[in-house]
Amino acid sequence: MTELVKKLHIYSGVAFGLALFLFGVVGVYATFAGSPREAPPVQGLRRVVDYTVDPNFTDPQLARAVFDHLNIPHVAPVPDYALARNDAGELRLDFYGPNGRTRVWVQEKANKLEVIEERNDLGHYLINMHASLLLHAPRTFAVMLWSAYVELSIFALLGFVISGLYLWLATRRQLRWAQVTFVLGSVGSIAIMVWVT
Amino acid sequence: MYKLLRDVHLGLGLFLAVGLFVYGFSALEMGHNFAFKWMIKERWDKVELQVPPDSFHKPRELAQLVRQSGLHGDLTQIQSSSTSLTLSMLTPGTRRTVTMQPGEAKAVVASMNKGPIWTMNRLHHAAGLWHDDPRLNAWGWFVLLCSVGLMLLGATGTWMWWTRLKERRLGMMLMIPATVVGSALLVLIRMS
Repeated sequence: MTELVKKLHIYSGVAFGLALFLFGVVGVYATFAGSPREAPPVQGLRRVVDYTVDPNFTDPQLARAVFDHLNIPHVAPVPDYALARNDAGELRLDFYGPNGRTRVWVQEKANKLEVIEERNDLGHYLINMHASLLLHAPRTFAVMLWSAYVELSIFALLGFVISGLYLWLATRRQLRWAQVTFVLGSVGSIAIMVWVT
Repeated sequence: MYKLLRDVHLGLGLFLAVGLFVYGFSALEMGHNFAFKWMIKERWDKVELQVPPDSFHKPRELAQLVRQSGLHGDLTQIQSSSTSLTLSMLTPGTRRTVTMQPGEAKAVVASMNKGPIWTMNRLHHAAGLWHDDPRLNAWGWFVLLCSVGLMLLGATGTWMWWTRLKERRLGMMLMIPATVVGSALLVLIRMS
Protein backbone atom coordinates (compact mmCIF):
# COMPACT_ATOMS: atom_id res chain seq x y z
CA MET A 1 0.00 0.00 0.00
CA THR A 2 2.74 2.44 1.01
CA GLU A 3 4.69 1.70 -2.16
CA LEU A 4 1.58 2.30 -4.29
CA VAL A 5 0.82 5.61 -2.56
CA LYS A 6 4.46 6.64 -3.01
CA LYS A 7 4.31 5.92 -6.74
CA LEU A 8 1.05 7.85 -7.13
CA HIS A 9 2.60 10.76 -5.21
CA ILE A 10 5.68 10.78 -7.44
CA TYR A 11 3.93 10.27 -10.78
CA SER A 12 1.26 12.89 -10.18
CA GLY A 13 4.04 15.24 -9.10
CA VAL A 14 5.87 14.96 -12.38
CA ALA A 15 2.65 15.02 -14.43
CA PHE A 16 1.16 18.12 -12.79
CA GLY A 17 4.40 19.87 -11.85
CA LEU A 18 3.91 22.59 -14.46
CA ALA A 19 0.51 23.65 -13.11
CA LEU A 20 1.71 23.53 -9.51
CA PHE A 21 4.75 25.62 -10.42
CA LEU A 22 2.40 28.09 -12.09
CA PHE A 23 0.27 28.23 -8.92
CA GLY A 24 3.41 29.17 -7.01
CA VAL A 25 4.49 31.80 -9.54
CA VAL A 26 1.04 33.37 -9.48
CA GLY A 27 1.10 33.55 -5.69
CA VAL A 28 4.46 35.34 -5.76
CA TYR A 29 3.24 37.70 -8.49
CA ALA A 30 0.01 38.47 -6.59
CA THR A 31 2.07 39.29 -3.51
CA PHE A 32 4.06 42.02 -5.23
CA ALA A 33 1.66 43.18 -7.98
CA GLY A 34 0.25 46.00 -5.86
CA SER A 35 -3.32 47.07 -5.33
CA PRO A 36 -5.64 46.46 -8.28
CA ARG A 37 -7.42 49.69 -7.32
CA GLU A 38 -4.26 51.66 -8.03
CA ALA A 39 -3.32 49.84 -11.22
CA PRO A 40 -3.23 52.05 -14.32
CA PRO A 41 -6.12 51.37 -16.70
CA VAL A 42 -5.31 48.99 -19.53
CA GLN A 43 -4.97 50.86 -22.81
CA GLY A 44 -7.43 49.45 -25.32
CA LEU A 45 -6.80 48.90 -29.00
CA ARG A 46 -9.79 50.34 -30.87
CA ARG A 47 -11.14 49.27 -34.24
CA VAL A 48 -14.46 49.65 -36.07
CA VAL A 49 -16.10 46.79 -37.91
CA ASP A 50 -19.01 46.94 -40.36
CA TYR A 51 -22.00 44.99 -39.08
CA THR A 52 -25.67 45.06 -40.04
CA VAL A 53 -27.97 44.35 -37.13
CA ASP A 54 -31.05 42.21 -37.68
CA PRO A 55 -33.90 44.39 -36.32
CA ASN A 56 -35.82 41.32 -35.15
CA PHE A 57 -33.08 40.22 -32.75
CA THR A 58 -33.49 40.46 -29.00
CA ASP A 59 -30.43 41.63 -27.05
CA PRO A 60 -29.32 38.08 -26.14
CA GLN A 61 -29.68 36.99 -29.78
CA LEU A 62 -27.74 40.04 -30.94
CA ALA A 63 -25.01 39.34 -28.38
CA ARG A 64 -24.68 35.79 -29.68
CA ALA A 65 -24.67 36.96 -33.32
CA VAL A 66 -21.89 39.50 -32.61
CA PHE A 67 -19.93 36.83 -30.73
CA ASP A 68 -20.14 34.51 -33.76
CA HIS A 69 -19.37 37.34 -36.21
CA LEU A 70 -16.25 38.66 -34.47
CA ASN A 71 -14.88 35.23 -33.59
CA ILE A 72 -12.51 36.67 -30.94
CA PRO A 73 -10.10 33.95 -29.86
CA HIS A 74 -10.55 32.32 -26.46
CA VAL A 75 -13.34 34.45 -25.01
CA ALA A 76 -16.67 33.42 -23.54
CA PRO A 77 -20.06 34.65 -24.79
CA VAL A 78 -21.64 37.45 -22.77
CA PRO A 79 -24.16 36.07 -20.26
CA ASP A 80 -27.65 37.61 -20.47
CA TYR A 81 -27.37 39.27 -17.04
CA ALA A 82 -24.32 41.24 -18.20
CA LEU A 83 -26.02 42.83 -21.21
CA ALA A 84 -26.36 46.61 -20.89
CA ARG A 85 -27.06 49.65 -23.02
CA ASN A 86 -25.62 53.16 -22.68
CA ASP A 87 -27.54 56.44 -22.83
CA ALA A 88 -27.25 56.44 -26.62
CA GLY A 89 -28.95 53.04 -26.75
CA GLU A 90 -25.83 51.17 -27.85
CA LEU A 91 -25.58 47.60 -26.61
CA ARG A 92 -22.40 46.94 -24.61
CA LEU A 93 -20.85 43.51 -24.82
CA ASP A 94 -17.87 42.55 -22.65
CA PHE A 95 -16.14 39.38 -23.77
CA TYR A 96 -13.69 37.98 -21.22
CA GLY A 97 -10.86 35.56 -21.82
CA PRO A 98 -7.44 34.79 -20.36
CA ASN A 99 -5.85 37.57 -22.42
CA GLY A 100 -8.19 40.23 -21.09
CA ARG A 101 -11.43 41.93 -22.01
CA THR A 102 -12.80 42.84 -25.41
CA ARG A 103 -15.53 45.48 -25.15
CA VAL A 104 -17.89 45.88 -28.09
CA TRP A 105 -20.37 48.71 -28.59
CA VAL A 106 -23.09 47.75 -31.08
CA GLN A 107 -23.91 50.90 -33.03
CA GLU A 108 -27.11 49.76 -34.68
CA LYS A 109 -27.94 53.02 -36.48
CA ALA A 110 -24.49 53.27 -38.02
CA ASN A 111 -24.32 49.52 -38.76
CA LYS A 112 -20.96 49.37 -36.98
CA LEU A 113 -19.31 47.58 -34.13
CA GLU A 114 -16.79 49.50 -32.07
CA VAL A 115 -14.33 46.93 -30.75
CA ILE A 116 -11.91 47.82 -27.92
CA GLU A 117 -9.39 45.11 -27.06
CA GLU A 118 -7.86 45.50 -23.59
CA ARG A 119 -5.01 43.02 -23.46
CA ASN A 120 -3.74 42.37 -19.96
CA ASP A 121 -0.10 42.01 -18.95
CA LEU A 122 1.71 38.70 -18.62
CA GLY A 123 1.18 38.53 -14.86
CA HIS A 124 -2.58 38.90 -15.14
CA TYR A 125 -2.60 36.45 -18.03
CA LEU A 126 -0.93 33.87 -15.78
CA ILE A 127 -3.40 34.66 -12.99
CA ASN A 128 -6.27 34.01 -15.40
CA MET A 129 -4.66 30.80 -16.64
CA HIS A 130 -4.13 29.43 -13.14
CA ALA A 131 -7.83 30.10 -12.46
CA SER A 132 -9.06 28.66 -15.74
CA LEU A 133 -11.57 25.98 -14.72
CA LEU A 134 -13.84 23.89 -16.91
CA LEU A 135 -17.03 25.31 -15.41
CA HIS A 136 -16.26 28.90 -16.46
CA ALA A 137 -13.71 28.55 -19.27
CA PRO A 138 -14.37 29.84 -22.80
CA ARG A 139 -15.41 26.91 -24.98
CA THR A 140 -12.38 26.70 -27.24
CA PHE A 141 -10.33 23.53 -27.55
CA ALA A 142 -7.05 25.00 -26.30
CA VAL A 143 -8.58 26.67 -23.24
CA MET A 144 -10.72 23.63 -22.42
CA LEU A 145 -7.68 21.35 -22.64
CA TRP A 146 -5.68 23.68 -20.39
CA SER A 147 -8.62 23.97 -17.98
CA ALA A 148 -8.88 20.20 -17.74
CA TYR A 149 -5.18 20.11 -16.84
CA VAL A 150 -5.66 22.79 -14.16
CA GLU A 151 -8.73 21.00 -12.83
CA LEU A 152 -6.82 17.73 -12.50
CA SER A 153 -3.94 19.61 -10.88
CA ILE A 154 -6.29 20.80 -8.14
CA PHE A 155 -7.19 17.20 -7.36
CA ALA A 156 -3.47 16.39 -7.52
CA LEU A 157 -2.70 19.14 -4.99
CA LEU A 158 -5.28 17.75 -2.57
CA GLY A 159 -3.94 14.28 -3.28
CA PHE A 160 -0.36 15.40 -2.48
CA VAL A 161 -1.42 16.69 0.91
CA ILE A 162 -3.29 13.51 1.81
CA SER A 163 -0.77 11.06 0.35
CA GLY A 164 2.14 13.06 1.78
CA LEU A 165 0.64 12.86 5.27
CA TYR A 166 -0.01 9.15 4.77
CA LEU A 167 3.58 8.52 3.66
CA TRP A 168 4.93 10.43 6.64
CA LEU A 169 2.76 8.50 9.09
CA ALA A 170 3.50 5.18 7.43
CA THR A 171 7.26 5.53 7.20
CA ARG A 172 8.70 8.33 9.36
CA ARG A 173 6.13 9.26 11.96
CA GLN A 174 8.58 8.83 14.84
CA LEU A 175 10.66 11.85 13.75
CA ARG A 176 10.25 14.41 16.54
CA TRP A 177 11.16 17.43 14.39
CA ALA A 178 8.55 16.39 11.79
CA GLN A 179 5.85 16.13 14.44
CA VAL A 180 6.74 19.57 15.78
CA THR A 181 6.80 21.02 12.25
CA PHE A 182 3.38 19.60 11.45
CA VAL A 183 1.81 20.88 14.66
CA LEU A 184 3.42 24.33 14.31
CA GLY A 185 2.43 24.65 10.66
CA SER A 186 -1.14 23.44 11.18
CA VAL A 187 -1.82 25.53 14.28
CA GLY A 188 -0.14 28.56 12.70
CA SER A 189 -2.09 28.22 9.44
CA ILE A 190 -5.45 27.82 11.16
CA ALA A 191 -4.65 30.66 13.55
CA ILE A 192 -3.80 33.13 10.78
CA MET A 193 -6.90 32.12 8.79
CA VAL A 194 -9.16 32.74 11.79
CA TRP A 195 -7.33 35.94 12.73
CA VAL A 196 -7.51 37.45 9.23
CA THR A 197 -11.18 36.63 8.69
CA MET B 1 22.14 15.33 -0.63
CA TYR B 2 19.14 13.02 -1.13
CA LYS B 3 18.59 12.77 2.61
CA LEU B 4 18.74 16.54 3.04
CA LEU B 5 16.27 17.15 0.20
CA ARG B 6 13.97 14.43 1.54
CA ASP B 7 13.91 16.15 4.94
CA VAL B 8 13.34 19.60 3.36
CA HIS B 9 10.50 18.14 1.27
CA LEU B 10 8.92 16.48 4.31
CA GLY B 11 9.33 19.51 6.54
CA LEU B 12 7.90 21.94 3.98
CA GLY B 13 5.02 19.62 3.18
CA LEU B 14 4.12 19.15 6.84
CA PHE B 15 4.42 22.85 7.66
CA LEU B 16 2.25 23.90 4.70
CA ALA B 17 -0.17 20.95 4.66
CA VAL B 18 -3.15 22.88 6.04
CA GLY B 19 -2.50 25.98 3.92
CA LEU B 20 -2.12 23.99 0.70
CA PHE B 21 -5.18 21.91 1.53
CA VAL B 22 -7.25 25.07 1.96
CA TYR B 23 -5.98 26.36 -1.41
CA GLY B 24 -6.84 23.05 -3.08
CA PHE B 25 -10.22 22.74 -1.42
CA SER B 26 -11.24 26.32 -2.22
CA ALA B 27 -10.16 25.82 -5.85
CA LEU B 28 -12.32 22.70 -5.93
CA GLU B 29 -15.22 24.76 -4.61
CA MET B 30 -14.72 27.42 -7.27
CA GLY B 31 -14.69 24.84 -10.04
CA HIS B 32 -17.79 23.06 -8.73
CA ASN B 33 -19.61 25.85 -6.91
CA PHE B 34 -23.03 24.40 -7.79
CA ALA B 35 -22.29 21.57 -5.34
CA PHE B 36 -21.45 23.92 -2.47
CA LYS B 37 -24.19 26.54 -2.85
CA TRP B 38 -26.33 25.01 -0.11
CA MET B 39 -23.51 25.63 2.36
CA ILE B 40 -23.23 29.33 1.58
CA LYS B 41 -25.72 31.39 3.57
CA GLU B 42 -25.66 35.05 4.48
CA ARG B 43 -25.47 35.92 8.15
CA TRP B 44 -25.75 39.52 9.34
CA ASP B 45 -24.56 41.16 12.55
CA LYS B 46 -25.00 44.75 13.54
CA VAL B 47 -23.25 46.70 16.31
CA GLU B 48 -23.12 50.34 17.36
CA LEU B 49 -19.81 51.93 18.23
CA GLN B 50 -19.26 55.10 20.23
CA VAL B 51 -17.03 57.39 18.15
CA PRO B 52 -16.17 61.12 18.29
CA PRO B 53 -18.65 63.17 16.20
CA ASP B 54 -15.83 64.66 14.12
CA SER B 55 -15.08 61.14 12.78
CA PHE B 56 -17.79 61.98 10.24
CA HIS B 57 -15.23 64.16 8.48
CA LYS B 58 -12.32 61.73 8.93
CA PRO B 59 -13.30 58.44 7.26
CA ARG B 60 -9.85 56.87 7.53
CA GLU B 61 -9.70 57.61 11.24
CA LEU B 62 -13.20 56.18 11.59
CA ALA B 63 -12.04 52.98 9.87
CA GLN B 64 -9.15 52.83 12.31
CA LEU B 65 -11.55 53.20 15.26
CA VAL B 66 -13.69 50.39 13.87
CA ARG B 67 -10.59 48.19 13.59
CA GLN B 68 -9.55 49.04 17.15
CA SER B 69 -12.93 47.74 18.32
CA GLY B 70 -12.00 44.33 16.89
CA LEU B 71 -14.03 44.69 13.68
CA HIS B 72 -11.13 44.76 11.28
CA GLY B 73 -11.11 45.00 7.49
CA ASP B 74 -9.59 46.70 4.50
CA LEU B 75 -11.16 50.06 3.70
CA THR B 76 -12.30 49.63 0.09
CA GLN B 77 -14.82 52.42 -0.45
CA ILE B 78 -15.80 55.77 1.08
CA GLN B 79 -19.15 57.33 0.17
CA SER B 80 -19.63 60.73 1.69
CA SER B 81 -22.39 63.32 1.46
CA SER B 82 -23.59 66.12 3.73
CA THR B 83 -26.12 63.78 5.36
CA SER B 84 -24.29 60.48 5.68
CA LEU B 85 -20.94 58.73 5.56
CA THR B 86 -20.68 55.11 4.45
CA LEU B 87 -17.52 53.02 4.53
CA SER B 88 -17.07 49.58 3.02
CA MET B 89 -14.55 47.37 4.80
CA LEU B 90 -13.62 43.90 3.63
CA THR B 91 -11.97 40.92 5.21
CA PRO B 92 -11.78 37.58 3.43
CA GLY B 93 -15.36 36.34 3.91
CA THR B 94 -16.86 39.33 5.70
CA ARG B 95 -18.14 42.59 4.28
CA ARG B 96 -18.68 45.43 6.71
CA THR B 97 -20.72 48.54 6.04
CA VAL B 98 -20.05 51.39 8.44
CA THR B 99 -22.59 54.22 8.46
CA MET B 100 -22.52 57.47 10.35
CA GLN B 101 -24.71 60.59 10.43
CA PRO B 102 -23.32 64.11 11.00
CA GLY B 103 -23.31 65.33 14.60
CA GLU B 104 -23.82 61.85 16.07
CA ALA B 105 -21.33 60.16 18.39
CA LYS B 106 -21.98 56.68 17.07
CA ALA B 107 -21.34 54.58 13.99
CA VAL B 108 -23.33 51.54 12.97
CA VAL B 109 -21.30 48.57 11.68
CA ALA B 110 -23.27 45.95 9.75
CA SER B 111 -21.24 42.80 9.01
CA MET B 112 -22.23 40.14 6.49
CA ASN B 113 -20.57 36.73 6.44
CA LYS B 114 -21.41 33.77 4.21
CA GLY B 115 -19.84 30.98 6.25
CA PRO B 116 -16.60 28.97 6.15
CA ILE B 117 -16.78 27.73 2.55
CA TRP B 118 -17.17 31.26 1.23
CA THR B 119 -14.48 32.47 3.63
CA MET B 120 -12.03 29.93 2.19
CA ASN B 121 -12.97 31.11 -1.30
CA ARG B 122 -12.17 34.70 -0.32
CA LEU B 123 -8.94 33.68 1.43
CA HIS B 124 -7.88 32.08 -1.85
CA HIS B 125 -8.40 35.43 -3.60
CA ALA B 126 -6.70 37.57 -0.96
CA ALA B 127 -3.03 38.42 -1.49
CA GLY B 128 -0.61 41.32 -1.50
CA LEU B 129 1.19 43.54 0.96
CA TRP B 130 -0.57 46.80 0.07
CA HIS B 131 -3.58 46.62 2.40
CA ASP B 132 -4.35 49.23 5.04
CA ASP B 133 -5.46 46.41 7.36
CA PRO B 134 -2.26 44.89 8.83
CA ARG B 135 -3.95 41.49 9.21
CA LEU B 136 -4.44 41.26 5.46
CA ASN B 137 -0.78 42.12 4.95
CA ALA B 138 0.12 39.29 7.34
CA TRP B 139 -2.03 37.02 5.18
CA GLY B 140 -0.13 38.32 2.14
CA TRP B 141 3.12 37.06 3.70
CA PHE B 142 1.47 33.71 4.36
CA VAL B 143 0.43 33.52 0.68
CA LEU B 144 4.02 34.22 -0.31
CA LEU B 145 5.23 31.48 2.06
CA CYS B 146 2.77 28.96 0.58
CA SER B 147 3.69 29.97 -2.99
CA VAL B 148 7.46 29.72 -2.51
CA GLY B 149 6.95 26.57 -0.47
CA LEU B 150 4.91 24.98 -3.25
CA MET B 151 7.66 25.72 -5.78
CA LEU B 152 10.31 24.34 -3.43
CA LEU B 153 8.22 21.22 -2.86
CA GLY B 154 8.08 20.79 -6.63
CA ALA B 155 11.82 21.36 -7.06
CA THR B 156 12.87 19.00 -4.25
CA GLY B 157 10.32 16.40 -5.34
CA THR B 158 11.54 16.54 -8.93
CA TRP B 159 15.14 16.18 -7.81
CA MET B 160 14.33 13.15 -5.66
CA TRP B 161 12.29 11.57 -8.45
CA TRP B 162 15.22 11.97 -10.86
CA THR B 163 17.55 10.14 -8.51
CA ARG B 164 15.14 7.19 -8.21
CA LEU B 165 15.99 5.18 -11.30
CA LYS B 166 13.00 2.86 -10.87
CA GLU B 167 10.48 5.65 -11.47
CA ARG B 168 12.46 7.69 -13.97
CA ARG B 169 11.23 6.09 -17.18
CA LEU B 170 7.49 6.16 -16.53
CA GLY B 171 7.89 9.56 -14.90
CA MET B 172 9.51 10.92 -18.06
CA MET B 173 6.63 9.49 -20.09
CA LEU B 174 4.23 11.51 -17.95
CA MET B 175 6.29 14.64 -17.43
CA ILE B 176 7.46 15.37 -20.97
CA PRO B 177 4.04 15.32 -22.70
CA ALA B 178 2.33 17.16 -19.82
CA THR B 179 5.02 19.85 -19.66
CA VAL B 180 5.42 20.26 -23.41
CA VAL B 181 1.68 20.36 -24.16
CA GLY B 182 0.96 22.54 -21.13
CA SER B 183 3.72 25.02 -22.00
CA ALA B 184 2.62 25.05 -25.64
CA LEU B 185 -0.95 25.84 -24.60
CA LEU B 186 0.27 28.65 -22.34
CA VAL B 187 2.19 30.19 -25.25
CA LEU B 188 -0.43 29.55 -27.94
CA ILE B 189 -3.34 31.02 -25.97
CA ARG B 190 -1.23 34.07 -25.12
CA MET B 191 -0.19 34.57 -28.75
CA SER B 192 -3.71 34.34 -30.18
